[in-house]
Amino acid sequence: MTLQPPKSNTSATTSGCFHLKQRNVHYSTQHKYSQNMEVATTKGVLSHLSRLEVQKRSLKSQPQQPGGVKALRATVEALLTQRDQLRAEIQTHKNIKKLRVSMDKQCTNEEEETEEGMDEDSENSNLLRLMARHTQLKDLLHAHNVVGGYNVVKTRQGKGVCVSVATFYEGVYLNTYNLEIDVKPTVRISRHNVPPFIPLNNLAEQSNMQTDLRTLLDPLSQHLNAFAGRQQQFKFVKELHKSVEVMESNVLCSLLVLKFTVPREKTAVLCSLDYTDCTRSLPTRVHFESDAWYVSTNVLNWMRAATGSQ
Amino acid sequence: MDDSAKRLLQRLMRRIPTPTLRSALEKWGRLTTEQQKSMDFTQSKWALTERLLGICEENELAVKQLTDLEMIHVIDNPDQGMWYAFQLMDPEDDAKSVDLTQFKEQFKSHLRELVRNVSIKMKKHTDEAVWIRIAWGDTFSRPNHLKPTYIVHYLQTPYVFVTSITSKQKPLLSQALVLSTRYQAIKDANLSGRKLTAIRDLLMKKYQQVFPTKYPIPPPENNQTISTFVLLFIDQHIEKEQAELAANRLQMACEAFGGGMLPQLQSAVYKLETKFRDHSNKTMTEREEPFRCVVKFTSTNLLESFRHCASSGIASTPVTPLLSCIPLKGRNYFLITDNGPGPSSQRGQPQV
Repeated sequence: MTLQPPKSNTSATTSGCFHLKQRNVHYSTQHKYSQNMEVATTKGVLSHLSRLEVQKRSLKSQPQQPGGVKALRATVEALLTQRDQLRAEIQTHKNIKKLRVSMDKQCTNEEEETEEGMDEDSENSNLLRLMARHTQLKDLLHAHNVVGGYNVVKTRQGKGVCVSVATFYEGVYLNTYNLEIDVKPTVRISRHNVPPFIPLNNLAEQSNMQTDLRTLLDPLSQHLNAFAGRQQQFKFVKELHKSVEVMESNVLCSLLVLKFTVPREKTAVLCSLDYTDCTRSLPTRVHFESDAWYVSTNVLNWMRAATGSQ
Repeated sequence: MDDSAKRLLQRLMRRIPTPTLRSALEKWGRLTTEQQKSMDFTQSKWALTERLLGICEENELAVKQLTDLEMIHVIDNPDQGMWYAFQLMDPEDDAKSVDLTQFKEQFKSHLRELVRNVSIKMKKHTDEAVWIRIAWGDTFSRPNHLKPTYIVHYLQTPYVFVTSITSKQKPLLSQALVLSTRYQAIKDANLSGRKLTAIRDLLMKKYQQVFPTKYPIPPPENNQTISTFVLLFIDQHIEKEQAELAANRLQMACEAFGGGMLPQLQSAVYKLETKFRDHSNKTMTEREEPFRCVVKFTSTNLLESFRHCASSGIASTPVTPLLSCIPLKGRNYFLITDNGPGPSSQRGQPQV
């Protein structure tokens, strides 16, 4: 819908204010008065003017509030202090930004220790330095989270990365596994020290690593940490419980058979632990066998397997 | 004791050196304490063999028990003979739940279906390795215990290590392995060496690998002793200037081959099939067949030598992928064909 300009001649030559009013009136009354546009606009202007006069009179008739000035003054004071506060914050922010720039530069050139010349007093500058360091650490933490908590190092002038996946169990850090990944032209694992019983190739195929590397790293970390957990638990059982004998185990620590000796009766119990879900460090199935005949024949079988007779 | 047993024992005694003989016999556990004491290990091998023969006759030991002794010796001294690595391909879904009992039963039954008269012995070692000893026979002859094949496999890994196998026996063994481990195929991993521990460590990634980090490796202490001698002849300033370059070379060498002790490979073979490129020699360039040559590197510790070449600057760094793919791909036999654009080019594109 295109608005047509008012047809009356007066619009072109009158002052801007009046022209504006006329325009406004024209917009609001256009759909009310269809035929006689000129007459309609003049009528509309007058009625609007009279409305404004009424409004002004009603405002004047309202009683002045005695506390109004005080309240206003108080508001002014509050606003002034707020303004000063904001100004101070802006200034601090600017100073921290400056400090951060020099701090970030310091981090990349670790050998050069440049002294930041602050012309404020030492207490202030120390505080600023702390605040800048705080923001730096927060940014670093955020970046770390974005990457998924894995250590990443750029290699080959940005054409590759090296990702470190740490494993731990019950708060103790164990092995760290590394993957060197080419980023250009496609995302591809070029080198790694992940052991062959972890299905890295399968995980890579099933992941979406061209667009999101974490679809590979998160499942890999799950597998590796679960394996580390199982391995540690197995190690502790062997070390701390000398009465437990290992009948069967494998490199992946996913199939374990242990022989327990009941303390007082001295009877043997076979415990089979199946870890069919390799992303978990707890077994999916535990089977205890206490039938004496079964246990003894199976133990014999395993002993034979260990000594190599047919 | 029959003849075959006697011959086996004699062969064993030739194979087992005297220093390791005592511990092997103890582990074997077939000798009584008096018999053990009666063995005088200061005597000659021949005398010891005679004594042991007598003891075995006393205890009525047969081939079956003697093969136990052989197996004990081989397991404790795996770095003898020539070992070849194979890789299982395309696991089935239940490959990762194959346990020892299942593997043993399946392997024995499959191999016995393929070969009549075969003697199979399987033993699980403490480091989770399954050792298999096979004495091959056929429809007409009994198993030959003088030329057994030894196989080492770690369950839930795709690698199998084999020694002393003939080309006729290989497909039979492959079939039995594939079926019992629940994989679909097996192929040659193109890795061989005298030391089982070396090729195993290389494939199972059991040696220390070096990855790019923010912090480079400090140079080993050996270099400092060398540099004190070098200082007599070379300006200290040169040494200082070269320090950073040397550190970079060391980092790159270690990233390519590894840090610390490296698996001891003895050789690497590159078979090249390429085109002769020398425009002055028309007869050679006009030949139809590809130009074949073999490049072989040998050393007592090949990877260590390569690493030292790279870190000392003899080989240029970054290390060429032709050398660094030995530990990267875990193989030491390569067939390099030429994929280059044509005889007019200076260098073809080597495809490995």
